[in-house]
Amino acid sequence: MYIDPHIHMSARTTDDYQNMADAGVVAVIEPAFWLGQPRTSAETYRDYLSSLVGWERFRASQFGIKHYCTIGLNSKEANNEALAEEVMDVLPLFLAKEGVVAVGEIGFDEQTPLEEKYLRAQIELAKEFELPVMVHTPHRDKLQGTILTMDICEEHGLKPSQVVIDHNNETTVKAVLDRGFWTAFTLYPQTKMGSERMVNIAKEYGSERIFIDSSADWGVSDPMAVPKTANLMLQSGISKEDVSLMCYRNALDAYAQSGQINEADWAESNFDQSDLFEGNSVLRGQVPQKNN
Amino acid sequence: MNDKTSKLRALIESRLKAHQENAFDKLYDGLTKLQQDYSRQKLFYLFAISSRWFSRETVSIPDDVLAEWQEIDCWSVLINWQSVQLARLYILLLHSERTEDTVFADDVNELFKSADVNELVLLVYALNFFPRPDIFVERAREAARSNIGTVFSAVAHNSDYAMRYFDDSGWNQLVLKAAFLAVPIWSIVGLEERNNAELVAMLKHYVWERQAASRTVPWDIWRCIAWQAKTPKDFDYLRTQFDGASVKELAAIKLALSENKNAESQALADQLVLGGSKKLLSWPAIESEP
Repeated sequence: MYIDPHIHMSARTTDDYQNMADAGVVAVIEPAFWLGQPRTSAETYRDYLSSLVGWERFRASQFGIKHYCTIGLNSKEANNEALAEEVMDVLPLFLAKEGVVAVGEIGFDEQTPLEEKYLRAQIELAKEFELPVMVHTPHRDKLQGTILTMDICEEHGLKPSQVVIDHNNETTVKAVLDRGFWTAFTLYPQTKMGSERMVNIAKEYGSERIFIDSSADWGVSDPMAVPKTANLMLQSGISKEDVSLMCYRNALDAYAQSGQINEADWAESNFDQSDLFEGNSVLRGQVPQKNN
Repeated sequence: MNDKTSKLRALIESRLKAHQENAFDKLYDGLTKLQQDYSRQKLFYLFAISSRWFSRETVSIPDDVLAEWQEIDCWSVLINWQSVQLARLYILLLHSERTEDTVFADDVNELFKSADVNELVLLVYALNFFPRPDIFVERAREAARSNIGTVFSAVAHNSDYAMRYFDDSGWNQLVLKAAFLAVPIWSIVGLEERNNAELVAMLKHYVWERQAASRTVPWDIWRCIAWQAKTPKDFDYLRTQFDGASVKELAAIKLALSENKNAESQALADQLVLGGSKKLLSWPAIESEP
């Protein structure tokens, strides 16, 4: 069983869902992010957030995969202050919803004052809604941006155990692990981490507080990265227990702090949670290709 | 104020109090503060956050009030709901009693825009219990266009909303969509009352399209078609279906013909022999056939 704790399924096809389900992915977490180009209105932002708790959840359920999400204003779009202000008004509507497991993905892109302003404001929202925080670390000036984000989280009184720092690499892993934050790695074939590099990191640092994700989206990315890397880890002599921690359990423990994700969600039922009409007896043939 | 609305609100209140007193007190406190200092944001917050306060267990209904519940909840849907969904319905009912219709309609329309799947099912089903169900026809039409089966079912099954408020075009599209979604047609509330020649023509066209592609049709599509059969041409059409039809389809055609008051229809129903038997199965019995 695997969890992909960071994947933008809205940008993926049903073939991806099918392949992931076949490979043993039982749950996914979809962080709110940008769309590859900036949005120009808060209304389209809201429709996007609404699709994360609505249509996408349903799409995943057709393949027996449980879909969760994180809600937030991403750092790129935080630089449009007028938009950002309106989006901040909408976020509380979504943060209280079922299956929202964190505020995220938030953090820095260019490390501008506006990015910092909305990072801080959203950390306060996380405290108000008692949710963990999922941090996107910047591609440029990465180590400094990562350290600054951790400093800000602590300044606002968050415990490191309440924060997931994502998109780590060889240059940031030690700084993040040493301070007690959840340390996530994105297997992104060309720009972030490759599976072989991840195996080396796992061998050097072990499995405590480390987990992996695909962050697959509309770019060149691989929705099968978690199961593939898990297999490579096993072939490279990493123990089954450690692989299970890095590809399932640690992510579950990190986000279970929200109270919105629970192993029983997929252990007891592999269908959509909307069992409001006496089970699913009213649904006849709407399960496309679910194999289990 | 609408009697049904306030009566249901009182029934839910008493059950939530008995089932989860602390959560209910918290909600009631929030709703009291909301009344003193109203803001839409606060209303929406209470609506969403209920899932953190109330459990997903079903609220048990004591025998002495069961009849009162069933009088309002004719299809016994609410009595099978989780307490969190009842809490949300409670919020909406109380809000409807305290607010002008137009403000209430605006708020509900906004809730639809940000709803998750469970909330959407709740909102659609709840329309029937609002003081003015008729002002939400467009929301119900959207639900009838949904590809999410549970949302679609909230308007098609176990609710007479569509039967009462959809115009013919909306009704016909609802039935056709049920065929597309492969959810039950036979149990759509109002199927008999709202059946019409235009719908039957659309369904026959759908059958033609499916059969041209060598695909199966929903067995219960024949219910609407056979009910409407009147002319020799109609009966010939049905006879041509006997050969390729599945056992369930044949059982459906036979039962629907027998329910059609037309004499030729009754005769044709009687001629149809299934598995050596002339016995009629009920609609639920056909549904449960393999």
